[in-house]
Amino acid sequence: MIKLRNLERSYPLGHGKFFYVLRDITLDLAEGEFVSVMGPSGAGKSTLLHILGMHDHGWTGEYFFNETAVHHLKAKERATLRNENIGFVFQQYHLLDDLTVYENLEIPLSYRKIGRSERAAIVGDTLDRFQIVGKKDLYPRQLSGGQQQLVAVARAIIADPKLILADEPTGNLHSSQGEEIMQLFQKLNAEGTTIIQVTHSEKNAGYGNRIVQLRDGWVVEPDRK
Amino acid sequence: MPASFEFPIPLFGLQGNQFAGRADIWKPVSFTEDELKQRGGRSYGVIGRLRSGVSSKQAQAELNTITANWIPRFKENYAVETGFGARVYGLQDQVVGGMRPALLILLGAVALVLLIACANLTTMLLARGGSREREMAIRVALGAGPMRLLRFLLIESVLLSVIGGVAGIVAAIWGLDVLTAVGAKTVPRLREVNLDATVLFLTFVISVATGILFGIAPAVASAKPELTEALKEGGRGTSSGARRNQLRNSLVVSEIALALVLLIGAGLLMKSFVHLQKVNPGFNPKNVVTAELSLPLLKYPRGKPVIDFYAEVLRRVSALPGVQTAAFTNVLPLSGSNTDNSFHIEGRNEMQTKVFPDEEIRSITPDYFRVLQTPLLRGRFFTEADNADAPGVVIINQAMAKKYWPGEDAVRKRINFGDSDPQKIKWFMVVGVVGDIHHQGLDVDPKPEFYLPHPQRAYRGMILAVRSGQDSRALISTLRKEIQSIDPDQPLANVRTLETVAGESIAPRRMSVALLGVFASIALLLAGVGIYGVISYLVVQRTHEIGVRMALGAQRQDVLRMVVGHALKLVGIGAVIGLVLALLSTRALAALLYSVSAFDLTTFLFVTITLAGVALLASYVPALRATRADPMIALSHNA
Repeated sequence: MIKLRNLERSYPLGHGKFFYVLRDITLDLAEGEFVSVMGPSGAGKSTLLHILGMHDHGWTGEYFFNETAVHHLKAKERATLRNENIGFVFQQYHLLDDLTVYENLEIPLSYRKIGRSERAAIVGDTLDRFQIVGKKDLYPRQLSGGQQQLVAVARAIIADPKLILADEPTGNLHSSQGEEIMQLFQKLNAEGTTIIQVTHSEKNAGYGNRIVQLRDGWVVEPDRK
Repeated sequence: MPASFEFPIPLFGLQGNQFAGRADIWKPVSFTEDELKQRGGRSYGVIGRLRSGVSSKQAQAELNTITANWIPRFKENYAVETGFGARVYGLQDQVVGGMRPALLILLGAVALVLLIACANLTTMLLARGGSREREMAIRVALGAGPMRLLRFLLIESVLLSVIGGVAGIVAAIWGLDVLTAVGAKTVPRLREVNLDATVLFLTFVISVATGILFGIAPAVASAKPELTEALKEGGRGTSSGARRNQLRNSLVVSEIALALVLLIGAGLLMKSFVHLQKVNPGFNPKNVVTAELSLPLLKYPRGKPVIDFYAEVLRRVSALPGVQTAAFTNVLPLSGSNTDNSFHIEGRNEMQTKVFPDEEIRSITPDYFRVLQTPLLRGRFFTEADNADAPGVVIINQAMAKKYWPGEDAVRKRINFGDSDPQKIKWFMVVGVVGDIHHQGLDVDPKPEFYLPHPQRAYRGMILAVRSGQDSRALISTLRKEIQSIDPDQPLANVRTLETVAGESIAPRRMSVALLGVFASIALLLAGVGIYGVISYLVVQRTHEIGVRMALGAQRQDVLRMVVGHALKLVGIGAVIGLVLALLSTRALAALLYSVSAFDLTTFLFVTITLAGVALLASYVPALRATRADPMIALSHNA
């Protein structure tokens, strides 16, 4: 599904010098995998995730997504590819404060030019699937952290992405809530969704089937479990 | 002399050109016996100072009694039906009364601009307060009381407005010179206006008052931070932030509404002015130079000497190279002066018909209409043969022909001006009908006018009008020389082109349009700045949200639509309120409008679209900045 070849990300320091966040990343990630990217702070985990998610365009090297050469795409084409294939879950949930649960779920669909009635049907199904129908009119601040992350995961999968990118999805949750979210990921993965998560937790990594270790921008342990 | 008045006016009352800026010499009016017997002419205004303790109402009552006594004695001149009488006006009303509506509207415009500027100040302070919420929370957490914070914040806003006031005074020092130069001939006593202690004090008071008044809302909002939220979230998404947003949005809506009112007012006046400039005055003012001559009574007693002098001037001026035609008139169109006269129409009994004719009278020389290029519609112009000894002749304008001889040919009809001796009555036959001239103003419909040949109604004070093939100003020095060669003591006064005369007649309107235009432009600019400020702040405030939306699939145009849409929503609400306010307020402008309705749909639409365009532009720049938001940074920002 994803092929990275000699991918590098750096920031200029001035006087012709650069600070490298990612170095010579060559990696293959297959469809249906549940990959955990691990490593100490500053290792480049989140940067890698944003590059995979096509938010970051300042890298060099090659990136193939389902055989599409992302490195040759223009920003708009990358956005279209991202919208069609990728969903995001963040550590801080990033639900929009002024929108209800229902409206938060509707956002990704509205950006994919899906009609109002179809959107309503999809949101209804998702609310059912995640058993949060009773909370559809609540605002994020009226939910617990676990409930907010549940809504965030629901929002990530609502447009039926092939790939979910999750940046420390349980970082702000207590352990039981974290377990629920990880079980949910496991279930989604079992249903065919590829998942790549950034995590510090060995336990959470245990829910996946592969760990990629990063250190100082280098892949040091691209091993399968 | 009516008992309510005291004459003569004390000398100090005349000092400093109190009555007219142009007067250099004052001389007493002296009438001949014949002139005192004439009751048909109405060329003089009377000015008097009321005795101490006498009200204008009492003076009016006394004058009513006097004129009522004239009616039975001079039935033919003061019949009740004519409505003739004497009306008392205050000098101030007489001098500045005409400008009062325009000045009041300008004052209103200034107030609106001040309000818009204040709304901008409040918006900025609110934005600043929003960005300092965390700082305020920390200050409170460290022990600062709300009053102390309030004082601190109010000092800031007052300081800002006082600095603005000082800048305003500096601008006013410069602006006053410009205003005085531009408007001296238009606004009465404008040269006496200066930046005195009262103005400076008022500016200071208004600055401090606006600083307190419009600084208090943002100060109160900032002085009571929600500690937990502000310290925890760093100011993002707190409910006080939402309140501040609502207030800021309301202020921008108000700015747009007020700016729209001003712009529509200015738009209506501009359209009116354009219409006015397109009005055909009934003559061609191009390439005509005019100059006033006034012959002294002792040297030129009424009659032949006067007629001969003006005839000689015309003979010499007409022979000058470059001169096409030259003529004299006693009243120049659009010059502000006027004279009327009553008359009798042959075969009509005015007492029976209750129609007592009294119309505008002009004394002219034969080529007057050729100089003005006013068309002859019927009959003929005057000729040299229409002299003092020839049968009386008169030319009338179309308006007079329609009024007194509707449906019939006015040529060969006769009128007279009465005489104390009925045996001496002289008849004047209508020999021509000319096109109408807008005499009293381009915005005033032409009145019935009749013209007499100068030899048959000789005035000592006349105005020379000369038409030349090119720029007539080149003739001025030659004209002076020619006239001085006839009479070295005879000055040529108030020399100006007819275009200048016509231009000066609409100068008050031009000034109102220019000033209101400037205020409206400032209002538009301020509204634009207000929208830009609010939308910029909104973009900064919603960076995180925009980042999330982009991460969830929003494309550039989605973000643009969201940000510009927010601005257009504010503009839409402001425009609706502004249009309602404009509909209610433009009524006050009606007196200043010409050929434009106070509810002119085109102006309302054009101005609204212009304002929406400016708002769109003002919001587009920050919106564009929003589309460049890096989701990576936005999502990691203070998350």
